[in-house]
This record gives sequence, C-alpha cells and structure tokens, in this order.
Amino acid sequence: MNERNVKSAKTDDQLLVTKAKELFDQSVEGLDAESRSRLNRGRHEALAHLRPGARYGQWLQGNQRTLSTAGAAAAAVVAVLIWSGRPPVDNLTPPAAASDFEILLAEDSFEMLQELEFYSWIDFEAELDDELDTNGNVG
Amino acid sequence: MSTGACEFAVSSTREHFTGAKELQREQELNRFLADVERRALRIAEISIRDRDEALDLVQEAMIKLVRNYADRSNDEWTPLFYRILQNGVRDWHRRRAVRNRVMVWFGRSTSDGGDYDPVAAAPDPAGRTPDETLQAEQAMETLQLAVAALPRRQREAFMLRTFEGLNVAGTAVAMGCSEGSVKTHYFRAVHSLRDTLGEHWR
Repeated sequence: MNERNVKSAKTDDQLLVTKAKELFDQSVEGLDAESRSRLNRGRHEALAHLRPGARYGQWLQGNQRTLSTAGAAAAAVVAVLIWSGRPPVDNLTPPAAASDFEILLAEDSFEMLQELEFYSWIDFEAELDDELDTNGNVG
Repeated sequence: MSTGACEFAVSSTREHFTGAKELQREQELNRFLADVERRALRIAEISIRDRDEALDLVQEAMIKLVRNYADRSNDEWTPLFYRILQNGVRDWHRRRAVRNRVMVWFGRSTSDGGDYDPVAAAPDPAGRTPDETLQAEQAMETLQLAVAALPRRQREAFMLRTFEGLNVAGTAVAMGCSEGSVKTHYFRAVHSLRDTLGEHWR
C-alpha cells in the first residue's frame, strides 16, 4: 500500500468516526421525554444511596445474613439462661393473682359490694348531719 | 466544663464540615451522572437492542458507582462507570444466552429489528426537515446495526472511544484490558465498520 492509499484510508476512517459521532450525538439529543424522565428518576434514586439512612440500610442489607445468625444465636443463649436460671416451682404457695381473686370472691366482700348503695347513703347522711351541726353552731 | 463546651464546638464544626463535603460530593456526582446518562443509555441500547432493559442497566450502573466509588476522584468516574455498565451488558448477554439455550427459537434478530422503531422513539428535532430527520434516523439505524454486529470487544472499544470520547487509557480501564488491546480492538472495529458502511455512507 503506497503513501497515498494510506492517507486516503486514514481520511476515510476519520470521516467515518466523525459521522458516527455526529449521528450518535443527534440520537442522544433526540431522546424521548419518557426515557429522559426515567433517567432522571434513576439518577436521584442512585444518589439517595449516599445519604446516611441509605448507608445504614445498605449496611443492614449487606449484613442481613450475619445479623440473622447473630440474632438466632442470641435468642438461643437467652432461652438457655432463662431455662437454667428459673426458680424452683413452689406447689404450696398459690400465685398472687389467684389469691387476689379469692379475696374478691369471698362471701363477705360480695355482700359488701351488694350493699354499697346503703353504705354510700349512710356516708351522705353523716356528712349532712355534720353540715347541719356546723351551721347550727354558727347561727 | 469549658473543655466539654470546646469539644462540642469542635465536633459540631467537624460534623458541619463533613455534611458540607458530602453535599458537595452529591452535587458533583449528580452533575457527572446527568452529563453521562443519555450517552450511556444509547450505548447500552445499541449493545442490547432494548431500551427498557438498557434503562435498567444504566440505573444499576449509577447505583453501583454511587455506592462503591463515590469517594474516588471525579476523573476516575467515567471509566469506572462504563466498566460497571459494560459488565452489566455482558451479564445481560450471558443471561440471554442461557435463556436462549432453554427456549430454542430462530429469527430473533429480524424480529428485534422489527420491534425497534427509531422513528417512533425519537422526538421532533428542531431545525431539520422531515426528510433530513428520516435520513439521519436511517443512517443511525444502519450504524447501530453495524456496531451491534461487531465482536463484543471491538464494539466496546469503538463506542467508548467514539461515542463517549474516552481516551485510550480511560477505555482500557473501562474495558479492563491493556491500552495496546484497546488500540487493536478499535483499529479493527473502524476497519470493519468502514467495510460494512462504506457503500451506504460514500
């Protein structure tokens, strides 16, 4: 290949590259609005990964397996500790809640509850007497 | 007590400084991605011939760049971004090849060409007659087909050098190969395209 042919080939190559670049740039400029919008949204979503919350999320995501393993191990340890450190069961003393329930349901208390209206009337009468006495002393 | 107040002031200033720095970095990344995203989309689209999938690949590349390389210098972002994108394109082709092996079919390339409608995809560009627009679109379609038909490494070298305007060193980083390989792939790509497109473009 002589020098002239080499020069011609180089020029052809350069022309091809220049034209290809022009066409490509035109096609980039002519991108439709929907694609531009999707690119814009995608960019903002990507940039959100820079923020601290996203980093924490990434960290969580990246270490999900480790965290779940550690969580399961911790739960197992706690379960073993609770099981081994549990106080002996005392069959003689009933639980506090049950004893409270017994007191509430005792016969006397139940009668007292039924006569609550009577007791409140007595209180009212006593207060009225006191008031009358006070007024009488003053008057 | 005064020491505590002083420590608080120092740490508060440091936090403020860090926050301002992060904000600046975010703005720089935003500018970089806004500048590169459309060309990246077209490059990915030429490689895989599917705009929706290309949009996904570009977004994935953006996320990976932000996550992994935000702290790198701005000069490194372009080759790194295209390296991520090229890897995404390569993975896409691999997945596609596996799918094709499972679902055997023929004539996909012609149906791909038929599905793609550059006229419908492009908006009305200002200052050109409909004939000129159509000619440019047809020329671009011809170019796309020719570029897409190149061997992968040649295609990557041609698009990164010509369309994105990366230098040899940047293209080498983006392609994960030596500068000598870039020169070889690019040289072969240009010659191949000249042979293919010569008749249409002369």
